[in-house]
Amino acid sequence: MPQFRNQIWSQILQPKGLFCSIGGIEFNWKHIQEFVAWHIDGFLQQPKLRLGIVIRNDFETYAAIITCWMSGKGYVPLQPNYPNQRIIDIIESSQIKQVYDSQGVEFSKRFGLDHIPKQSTQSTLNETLVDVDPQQDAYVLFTSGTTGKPKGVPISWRNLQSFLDGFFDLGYELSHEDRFLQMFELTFDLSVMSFTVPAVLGSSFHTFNQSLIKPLALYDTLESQNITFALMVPSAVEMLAPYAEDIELPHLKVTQFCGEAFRINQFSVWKSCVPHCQIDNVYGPTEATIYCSRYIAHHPLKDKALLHQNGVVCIGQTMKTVQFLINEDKELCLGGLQTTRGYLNATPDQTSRFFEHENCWFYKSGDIGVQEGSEFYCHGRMDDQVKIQGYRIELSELEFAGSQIFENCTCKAAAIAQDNGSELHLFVLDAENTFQSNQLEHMRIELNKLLPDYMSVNAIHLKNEFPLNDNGKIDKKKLIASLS
Amino acid sequence: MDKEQIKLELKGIFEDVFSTPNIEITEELNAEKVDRWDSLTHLTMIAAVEEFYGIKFKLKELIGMKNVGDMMDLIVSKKSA
Repeated sequence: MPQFRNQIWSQILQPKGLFCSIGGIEFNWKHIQEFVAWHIDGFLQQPKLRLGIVIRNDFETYAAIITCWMSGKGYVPLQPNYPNQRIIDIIESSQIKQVYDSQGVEFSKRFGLDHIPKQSTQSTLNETLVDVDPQQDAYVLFTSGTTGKPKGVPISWRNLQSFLDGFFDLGYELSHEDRFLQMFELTFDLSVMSFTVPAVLGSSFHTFNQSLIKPLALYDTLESQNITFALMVPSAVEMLAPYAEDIELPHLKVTQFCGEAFRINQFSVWKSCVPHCQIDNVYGPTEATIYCSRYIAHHPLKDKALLHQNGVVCIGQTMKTVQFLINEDKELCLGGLQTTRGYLNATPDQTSRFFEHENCWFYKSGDIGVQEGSEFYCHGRMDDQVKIQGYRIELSELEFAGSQIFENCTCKAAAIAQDNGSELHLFVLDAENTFQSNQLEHMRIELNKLLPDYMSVNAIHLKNEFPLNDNGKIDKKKLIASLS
Repeated sequence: MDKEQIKLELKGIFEDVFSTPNIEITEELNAEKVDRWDSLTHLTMIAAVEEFYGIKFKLKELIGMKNVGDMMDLIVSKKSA
């Protein structure tokens, strides 16, 4: 325990084939072996069990993460483009003192950290790895906290191994020949799956230059790199929708969607683009390690009806070591071996997000959950459940009604505070200018016919585009701010 | 089609989509040189150009498009096709 380190280590000791491509430039497992030999003693010598890695979109950054793991240390990704104060908060909260940066010592000097250098000679790589305590961290990622300071989510070796056990239990036929897409920034935990699973298999992952036009770079990578397995966010597909008829990806075997609600219109677009490809919806927050449930939305050999509620695809059944529980507030609680022990330096409020139930450790996800048989559904965020004139309203329900009126366009609903209480506003993503603003009042009346009176929509806004955050999810705050 | 005429037309579209006044249209112009030219506004701009000229770009053409010069060549070839 954890087995995956040994699996990656044996790939390093007997290097075969491709490790990754970055913006089309290929690196082999031999390059990893060489990097590890030049660096592992430097990592081993560090006294702390957590090390910082400055994330650059280059081979060395990935190689440093692998080396860090092989030296028995966990990593904390540091995004150099973050504001200084946020970087300082992350360094203080995770108590890191040493950092690796492929671009040299400037970053470590700026923040008073020690730089982990390349050694003067190559080390001989031993057959056996240093042991780790399964409770210690494999990585720590930071998410936005309501206190204004980023919250550190520590993921232990056991958490990550449990995720990988669950992943390999999902029944995908994978080998060292598979080629994985890695489209995520390394501060986002979906990246961990995208490079760790291929590393365990001895196969390869493929990433692109983040500064390019993202949906085009994404498609170019899927096509030119013959990707067979892709984990993506649904919004990425939506941006390609106008060009659906040009999409040809014969090598793609599996697409997983994660990170935000997977809507049935997005599913339909993607299924029409890649009918030969298995399409899965996977669900889970950082706190439960990458993702923890899976629903097979489309299997090329097994035709069955798509399960969905409020226009959002089912999140399916729990992975091998995971248990779900829905509490009296309808909140989906995620338990089992993938769930983090708790936030770093947690406030009492943050600690209260976790509890033990029948010997199982649970995290209250903040998502509204519904169970039907053995399948689960997510009805959006508890925070998206708004109360207007005493009525509890789920915005996802409003968004579904909106997409029925607006011909399957993606809709986002928001309750916006006004002097005389809250108003419900609906934002419609109309990329191709299908609708005219003078139709809106009529369509608003039609929409409200589908809804109970207390859910009446006060205003509709057509948008050519929805603002997205760095990970490609819809940025609702910016969307609301666009009104003022 | 006259390239100078296309430049003039693109100037109007770009200034509108990127909400930026006085954009000088050159063949070398690309996303790095305009602040508000990003993944999202790029696709909005493409849709606006397609609508203005009544043409449709292929996904492969969009991927291969490195600057405004490439786009103008495509507009000319599609309009004369």
